[in-house]
Amino acid sequence: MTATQELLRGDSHTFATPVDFLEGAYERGWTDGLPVVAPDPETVLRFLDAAGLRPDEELGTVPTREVTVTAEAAATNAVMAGCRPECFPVVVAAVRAHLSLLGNSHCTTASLAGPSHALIVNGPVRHELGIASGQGCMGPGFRANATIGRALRLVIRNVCRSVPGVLDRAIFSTPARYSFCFGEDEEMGAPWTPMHQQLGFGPEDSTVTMFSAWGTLESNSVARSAEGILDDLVADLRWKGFWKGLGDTADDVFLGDALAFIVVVGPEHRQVFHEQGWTKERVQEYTFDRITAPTTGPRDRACAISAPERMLVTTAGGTGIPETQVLLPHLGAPVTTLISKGGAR
Amino acid sequence: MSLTVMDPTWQPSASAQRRLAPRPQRTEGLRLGVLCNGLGNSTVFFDELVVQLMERGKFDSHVKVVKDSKSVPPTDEQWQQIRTADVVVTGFGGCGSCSTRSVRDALELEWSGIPAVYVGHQALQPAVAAISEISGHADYPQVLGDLNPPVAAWEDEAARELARQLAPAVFRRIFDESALEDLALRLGREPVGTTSGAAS
Repeated sequence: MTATQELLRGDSHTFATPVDFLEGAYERGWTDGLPVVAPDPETVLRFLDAAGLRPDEELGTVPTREVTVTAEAAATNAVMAGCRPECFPVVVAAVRAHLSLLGNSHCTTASLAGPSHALIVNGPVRHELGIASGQGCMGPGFRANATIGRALRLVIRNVCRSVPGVLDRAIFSTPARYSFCFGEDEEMGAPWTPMHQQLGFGPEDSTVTMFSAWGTLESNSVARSAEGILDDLVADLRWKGFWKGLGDTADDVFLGDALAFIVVVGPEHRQVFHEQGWTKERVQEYTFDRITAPTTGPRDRACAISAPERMLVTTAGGTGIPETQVLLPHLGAPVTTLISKGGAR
Repeated sequence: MSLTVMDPTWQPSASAQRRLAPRPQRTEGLRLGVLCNGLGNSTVFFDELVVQLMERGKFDSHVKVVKDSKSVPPTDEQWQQIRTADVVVTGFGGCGSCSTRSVRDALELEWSGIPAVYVGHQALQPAVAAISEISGHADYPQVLGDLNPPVAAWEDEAARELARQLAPAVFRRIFDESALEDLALRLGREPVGTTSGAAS
């Protein structure tokens, strides 16, 4: 055993060649179906150093599964995901958020509903790491976005034991479970207050908001007024977004007032709001009464959030089609954690 | 040139060895507990199950606890309430997360000395078996029905009928065999789709 390996607690395996490692990783069920990077001990330690964490530092637990996620385990999976070491603090913050009480890890990773785990990054770290928030930011093509989101999902699979067909019982699952990570376009969103600052963090803070999303909804209002855009958004949500018919998340006592959903406003809609001088707070207030008004029929469902600010508003995406994306709630709340070199607390 | 890698699935500690609770050797004068996860219309199912079990077992009383969410543990207060029971039925395991949490509820009751029975849908049997194995009881029995959909979006009468079908199997899981022999009840034929294995 090398001196490096002695610093780490986990088991190790030796393969004759990189190809043997890759085939071995598949045989052992370590991958999400895509190839993974070999997590050699030296690289795992570099990741831990980048976050200022000891290998045995506990990031959280999933008590139902007798799982403890250590910094070492998260680093191993972040290496496999293709992260750079400097991205690991974001991964740590995301893992902590996922394993928090309201992240509801066991529920959201075993559910038949198969929700994804979206990560929205705010603050200076976006530029430091190249986390995309503009054109195509929710899709493939951006290393930081792809690997940070993937690292969380590999932790969920490998450490939290969410293997499809075993503990992961998602009916269809979703491509968003490969990776779902993007940044808020705070610069183009100005003068809007960035989402994390609305939640009480400072402008120099970097944060990640982890949210278990039971699908997404696309609202493409072509209205040229703020009211029109939001009226169309509410109609879309009440007809298509919140109608699940299998149990209302609003009845969930555990979530209670923490129930929330996230609206990602695209540039075309954002421009209309800016031109009319609508702040995020005004968007939230206008929408709140309309989204919570009592249900009027079988295909008109309200979303019983407790306050306007439980509709989190962020902004991202590229120009072209007037579009706002909504991340719909499952049985976890959005959890926002600070990203620091010492790992989130 | 060889390549050494760290295991991405490694866990820092193994599960402790724990024992299941002994079954009651009497069938009278006990307090029946029902720990519901609130899935779909399963509270109607459990209300009927209580009726059926109370008739069979001559229980003194019962307590029903409905958890705050389908897939989370009971709160501290709810644990206190349900632990006033002598035997507990948990469920309904009709979703991937709620079923696995319900069997875990049953096991945690067992470890605290309260015999328990898990009730769920056949479709979730593999997931529940996986959690049972993780928890150190690979063969922990499941009482299973197959009324669709698994998520308990049932009509009330269908829910009650399922309870009537599964009650005999639940009853047999609650008690020690000697107690059942002394009971001198005529138990119905085992329902279709019900599994009740040997206690581990």
